[in-house]
Amino acid sequence: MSVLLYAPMVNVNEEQMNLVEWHKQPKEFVNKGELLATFETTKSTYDFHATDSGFFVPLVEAGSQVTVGEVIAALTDQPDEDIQTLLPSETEKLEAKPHSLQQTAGNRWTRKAEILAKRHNVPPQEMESLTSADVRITEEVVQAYLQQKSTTTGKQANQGFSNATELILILGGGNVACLVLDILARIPQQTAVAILDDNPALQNTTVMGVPVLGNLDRAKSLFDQNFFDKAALAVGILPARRELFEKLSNLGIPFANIIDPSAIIGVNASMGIGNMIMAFCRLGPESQIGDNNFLSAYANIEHHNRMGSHCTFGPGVAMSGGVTIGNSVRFGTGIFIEPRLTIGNNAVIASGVTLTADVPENTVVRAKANFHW
Amino acid sequence: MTTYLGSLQLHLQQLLSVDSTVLVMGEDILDPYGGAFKVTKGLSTKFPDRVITTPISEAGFIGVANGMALRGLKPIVEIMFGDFITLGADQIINYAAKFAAMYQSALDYHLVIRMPVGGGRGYGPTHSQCLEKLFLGIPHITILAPSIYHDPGLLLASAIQQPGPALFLEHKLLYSQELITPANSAFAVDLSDESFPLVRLTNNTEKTADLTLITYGGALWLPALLQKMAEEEIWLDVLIPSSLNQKAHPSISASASHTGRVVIVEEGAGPFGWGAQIAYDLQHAMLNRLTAPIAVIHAENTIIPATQALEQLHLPNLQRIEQKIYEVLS
Repeated sequence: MSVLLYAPMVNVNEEQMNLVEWHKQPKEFVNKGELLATFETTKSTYDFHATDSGFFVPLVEAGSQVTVGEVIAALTDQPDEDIQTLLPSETEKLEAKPHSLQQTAGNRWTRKAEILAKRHNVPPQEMESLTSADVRITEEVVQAYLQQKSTTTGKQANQGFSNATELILILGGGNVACLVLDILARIPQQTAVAILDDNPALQNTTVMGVPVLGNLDRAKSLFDQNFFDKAALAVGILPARRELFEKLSNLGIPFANIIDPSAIIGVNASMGIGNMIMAFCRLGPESQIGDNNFLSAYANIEHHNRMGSHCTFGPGVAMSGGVTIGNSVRFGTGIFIEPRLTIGNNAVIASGVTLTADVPENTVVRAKANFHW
Repeated sequence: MTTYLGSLQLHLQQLLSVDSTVLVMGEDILDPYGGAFKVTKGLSTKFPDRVITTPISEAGFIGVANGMALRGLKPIVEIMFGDFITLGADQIINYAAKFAAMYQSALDYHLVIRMPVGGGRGYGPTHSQCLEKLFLGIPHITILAPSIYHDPGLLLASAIQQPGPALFLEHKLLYSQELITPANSAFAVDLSDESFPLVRLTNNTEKTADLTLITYGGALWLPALLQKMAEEEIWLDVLIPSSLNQKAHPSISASASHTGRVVIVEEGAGPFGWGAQIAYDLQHAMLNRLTAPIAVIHAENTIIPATQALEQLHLPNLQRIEQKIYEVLS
């Protein structure tokens, strides 16, 4: 039987080598095992022996470079045989390429559509019967189906495929950071990506598993690199809290509201940005608060209260309805406030006070019991 | 068009031209042979005094390079196959990595050890390995593994100019490949602004990524994988660091936080590898907020077969990666 001869792999590091010499003349009969050619690689020369017997048909010239696996000659049964039928056709060459991936075109569904449908327990037969046979079932088709289902049942399903969350940069790595991280650990919609703090001792450490990546002034460049979506101030004291908020806001950095899942936000209650609302707090219905307020646990902002920005609270501050609070007001721990009072800007209300009258701006209200007479 | 090999050849020439303290040494690197993978081809003709062929003794010539580096030269050493680095491990771990910290001096010490690594060519168990995990975790060694998306020559130049020893891993399948840049890539490519950049690659710039894929080095399966995933509407955020002996790059954590689903692919064998460390870092950085367990794909935990068909099955391959992606998304 007529056969083709291929350039052998002589040196595993080389795809190409020199065919130095043919040892037979064209059309000469060659016996199996006879010396036929000499190759030269960068490391050695190599004698190539005929793998079959037949009439010799050289297909490359002596002295040329050949590639490993290339057809170099044929050995034919007849002296003048046409070897064209032996040579691989172009289509065969194409088919020889390995199919490295699973077939896509024949699949009725995209993988994403399939996974999405499974996640939402959509029966595949139903999807397929609703979609015409020539349309590929894509994410969009499944989403539309889910949308329709959710309006008919009145249920609000989480239809998103991606797990995108808001990436939060924490400013400040002290104890307050632990409060914030503790909340974020329970909210899937927000993820802490890193902490910035000016304290050199905190650099290259982690706080509750979140790395401290440098000083506060790195916030701007990290934001420009899309490293995070919003910032959260883990600073509990004024005036630092206000200064940082204003400085970074001016640089264009947005702030996130961080709200513990146990907090209750009433109907029509509203808030600005950058507020920290710890466990068991409540914003009553129709209440409004501004930006950057820090509400420790058990703060009750009653219905129809109005509060400005940058106020800080110790735990357990309870207000009655209709109270108005200015900006940068500091509340201690365990305070009760009667209805419809007004507290001016920069006031300080000490721990344990029960407020029964308005407080003018810049006033410090002390609890009598705290004084040593 | 620049190939991976071409970039290395070009920058080696430039380094030798501009810096007379740079020299190149290794086995069989002189012309006309020019090294087993031809990276040093032409160098010994141009710079006969500074291209040194060595006996077959890795411990010996890495030791010589250590001495040269201590006296202010900048040797670039070639190990013919990365597998042979085991013979030089003592010189690297107990000497090169220790000088600066042990003697508490600001040594001007420069050493790069280049080596071809990885399988895919049927070279068998002792010429195909990725042994970098033997050195990962050793302090004060830089371990670099430029991919086809990095410019390996530029990284080599940065490596020899920075103080301290660097291992420089060149995946042998890459040599003949054309470098992929933002200009010629079918998919969006972005490089971080660092001397040893992180590459970011995605098959959809408009949609939110569904999954974070982290890999390094060879990874020639990437374009086909991105193409196939695009057909299946699965959007990948692929991150390819060039520097390995460090914690997960912040951009990796950020991406993982976004997607909540992570697949790590490395070519080295079995467990206890780079992927395991990255998975650990991510688990920490994300406060356990992962939607699915992090998957790490690596070579089978046994020797690499010489038969190419078996080798394909042994190494991380497209089918395995594709299947794992579906698993992690489901």
